[in-house]
Amino acid sequence: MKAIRPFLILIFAAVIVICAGCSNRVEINDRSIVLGVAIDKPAAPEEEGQGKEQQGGTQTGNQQNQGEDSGSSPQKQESEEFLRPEPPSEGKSPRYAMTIETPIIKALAGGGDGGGGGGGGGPKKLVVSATGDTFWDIERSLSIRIGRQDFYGHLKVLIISEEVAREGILPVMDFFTRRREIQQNIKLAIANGEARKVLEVEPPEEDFAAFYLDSMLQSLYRTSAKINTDMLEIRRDLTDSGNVVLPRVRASSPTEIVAGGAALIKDWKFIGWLSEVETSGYNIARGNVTGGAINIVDPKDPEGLITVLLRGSQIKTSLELVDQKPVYTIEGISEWDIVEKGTETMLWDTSYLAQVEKRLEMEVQRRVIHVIDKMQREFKADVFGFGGMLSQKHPDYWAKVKSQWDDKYFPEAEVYVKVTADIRRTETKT
Amino acid sequence: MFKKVLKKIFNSKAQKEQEQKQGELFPEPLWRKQAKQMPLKKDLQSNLDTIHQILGDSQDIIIRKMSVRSTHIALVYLEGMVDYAVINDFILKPIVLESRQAKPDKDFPPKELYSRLLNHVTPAGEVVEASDFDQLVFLVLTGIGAVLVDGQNKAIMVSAKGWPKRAVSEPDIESVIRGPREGFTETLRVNTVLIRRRIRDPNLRIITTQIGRRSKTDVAIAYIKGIADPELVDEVKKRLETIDIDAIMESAYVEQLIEDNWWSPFPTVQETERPDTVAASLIEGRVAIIVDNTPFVLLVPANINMFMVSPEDAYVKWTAGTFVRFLRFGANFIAMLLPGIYIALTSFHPEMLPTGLALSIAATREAVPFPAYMEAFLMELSLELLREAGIRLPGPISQTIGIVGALVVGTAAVQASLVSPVMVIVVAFTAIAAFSTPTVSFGFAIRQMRFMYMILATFLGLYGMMLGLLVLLGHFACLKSFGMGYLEPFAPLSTSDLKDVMIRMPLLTMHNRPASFGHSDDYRMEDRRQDDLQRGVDSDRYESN
Repeated sequence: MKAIRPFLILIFAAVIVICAGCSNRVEINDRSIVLGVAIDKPAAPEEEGQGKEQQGGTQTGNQQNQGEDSGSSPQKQESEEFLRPEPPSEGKSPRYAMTIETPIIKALAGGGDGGGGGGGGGPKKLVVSATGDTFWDIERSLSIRIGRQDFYGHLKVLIISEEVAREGILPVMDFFTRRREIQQNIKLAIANGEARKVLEVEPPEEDFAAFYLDSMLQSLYRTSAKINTDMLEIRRDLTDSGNVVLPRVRASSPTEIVAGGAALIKDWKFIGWLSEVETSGYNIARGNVTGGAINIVDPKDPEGLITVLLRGSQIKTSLELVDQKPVYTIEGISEWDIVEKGTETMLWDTSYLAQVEKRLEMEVQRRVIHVIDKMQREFKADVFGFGGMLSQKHPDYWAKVKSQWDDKYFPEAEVYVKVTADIRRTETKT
Repeated sequence: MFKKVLKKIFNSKAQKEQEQKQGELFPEPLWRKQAKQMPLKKDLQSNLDTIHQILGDSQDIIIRKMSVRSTHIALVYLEGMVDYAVINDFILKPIVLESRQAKPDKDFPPKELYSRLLNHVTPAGEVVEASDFDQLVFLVLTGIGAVLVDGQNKAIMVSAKGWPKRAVSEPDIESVIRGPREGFTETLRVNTVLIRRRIRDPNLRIITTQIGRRSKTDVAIAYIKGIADPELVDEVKKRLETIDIDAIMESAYVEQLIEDNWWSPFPTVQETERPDTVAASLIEGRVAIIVDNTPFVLLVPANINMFMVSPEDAYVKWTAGTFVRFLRFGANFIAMLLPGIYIALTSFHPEMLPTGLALSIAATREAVPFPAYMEAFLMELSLELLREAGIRLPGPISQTIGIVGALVVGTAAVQASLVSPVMVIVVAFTAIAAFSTPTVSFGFAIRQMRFMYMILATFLGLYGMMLGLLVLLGHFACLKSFGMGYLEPFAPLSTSDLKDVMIRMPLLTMHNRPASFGHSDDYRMEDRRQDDLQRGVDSDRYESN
């Protein structure tokens, strides 16, 4: 025993080392760090309609297609490359087109040497697309367009075009939640229009559209008109009910992205947009709001407007079963500051302030009720987690209504909204 | 092959033991063999001849012959090892005066002269008798003068030790801001004095033996009887007795011959240049081993915590001491792991870096032709080279080397795109962190470990580093130092000792001595401030007379 002990130790060490399977050393500067991904429908071949219902082209067909595309250089200017229709002989259009935004490290290094200033020189980022039926397929075919290994560990945003989302986001979500290097705090957004356009934006304040979009979608303390959510929460909501509200983004100009409003996903499929005011109502109803301003009409001067800024809120939703029907109550308190007032009215009159508060409460409640109403009547989609509450508190009842919750029971549920508003400060003027 | 080598080693060991039993492998020097068999004779001239025969023609042996009346006497000493004032004032002068003061008609029989010299005349402090050549020659070699009287088969050995000594000065490697500036010197006796001055306890025992068949180096064990565990003291003595070597050049020889694990890079014996550290350790119940000819005193037992603390931690406020200790613990990890972490993160796990940092590291590495591990090894090795060169070079030039190495090589390497600036920062930070380890031997171990972790990171990334850390932890858990676990007081856990590990608790809370190693007297202090407050100030105590 003593004689073979060293060999045993050696064998164990070798097993530990070999079986761990993490010997793929790739230098950081040999990787292509993907910051943003956009998912689009590839442009349809002219001869046929969109291959929406097709079960996907064969693997070999796609590979041939990619092989033909490989002649193109991965330059942003040559984006027509991926727009080129497929050879008619193949007959089928690939399902997805994936676009990645990745920094050109060389350009970054050059900028650093020049003292950080000056945006001159070549482009700082590379926007490349590839098409295919599955995302692994596309990801692998990217390697015939970019020389470095694409790396998704620093992915910030994932933008899905409206067109793709209409078909269902399940395949997309699967790839981006299954792949191990992808972090689960990435932002997911639905593009109003072509998703690639959003990544092609060259924002003046950041080097990359992904950073720009990421910081825009970061927090709600400045406005409640957008959605702040990450992959983890989206996964949770989607597996709970299949319904989720995602931020809406669009490239309004080559240098600007607008991220207000929201997209509504029901049963993993896109069904409609929410305006910015509706988004705000949704955020209040879910208690997501940490800031943002609301304009209300001055009670004494119908022409004048008062702007109040949210300082803090506490929203609680409660559930009761009344006559075998769920009744939800959204209750809450909120504190506000008056930050702008274009009228001559004085604020030291407490009855006047009470009037302002009353109007404010009405406005807040109106927004919430409006969005709930819209969800119940128009979309028939429970995005408020009402179903989840019901399943926790009354599992027996939930088992009965589960299958028809979104279409039948949720629209009939009674929801009461009571949010009080207190004005605490008026800044430095009365 | 492997087996063969092992066999060879074991065989040679067994062989040695056998030979040792027969007493043939390490034959004693011829002169000692002869000297042991040779007691002093009554005839002075034959004694002097024998001394001459043993010591040979060395010019530094001084034999001064003279006579008191008709009796011949001789003084033997080693030139340079003795204090001439002592020789003159306490040996030669009294002998001459004695011979003059005696009545002219009175003759001194050798026996009377001898006893007068021994008991009445020689006014030196340390006087012993020697009766054989072994003792006599050894004492002469340690700087003691021998007075031989014709007709007496004994010699009077008068201590006149005096040789060039370095003055007590501030230690170079364990400097403190607040605290005593004294450091040990190369002289054993000075060192024991420095300890005695700090502990006036009659129970402080300093037991000296000689180790080294040829060097006969003085090695002293110091401990406080009643605090130190008697078993520990016995163990130290036992291990010292096992040493059979020709010469002890430095306390490191002793350390290497008595430590528990000679194959571990981590030290299990603490070394220090500071008398206050030694005194504090003795009070805690540890044992000090003081070796002549070196300012480094060994302290046993030692656990990992003792290598990471500085005596200054106890001299500043406890908050400051705690803060510094946290810094130092962190610095040790940085010194050991940072280059490995750099390699692992850039080559294996870029997702663990913040995005901005990942991009900027990628940008700075863009022009570098080497992979990260190559870059790291290049820079770390050149750092070690600079350090080594800086130590070997004379003082003024070593600063130049520092400037050339740090500024010229570093900057030029970055500009030539040989290494990335981030790597330079990593290396510099590692070096700074490595310098904060208070103990040299532990710092050495940390530096070696750094390269091990770099290799692991090169092949296996963070996974490999974690494996390495586990192995290191296991190794620490196995290490023992004179019966004490290396990881104490963490494992086995001793909660009361945690007061003085990462967090340095206020002195008032440390009522007992550390429980990690046994001692006969646990009680250390009592908080009597409340008593004094109730009693009021004891006026007698502070009244001036």
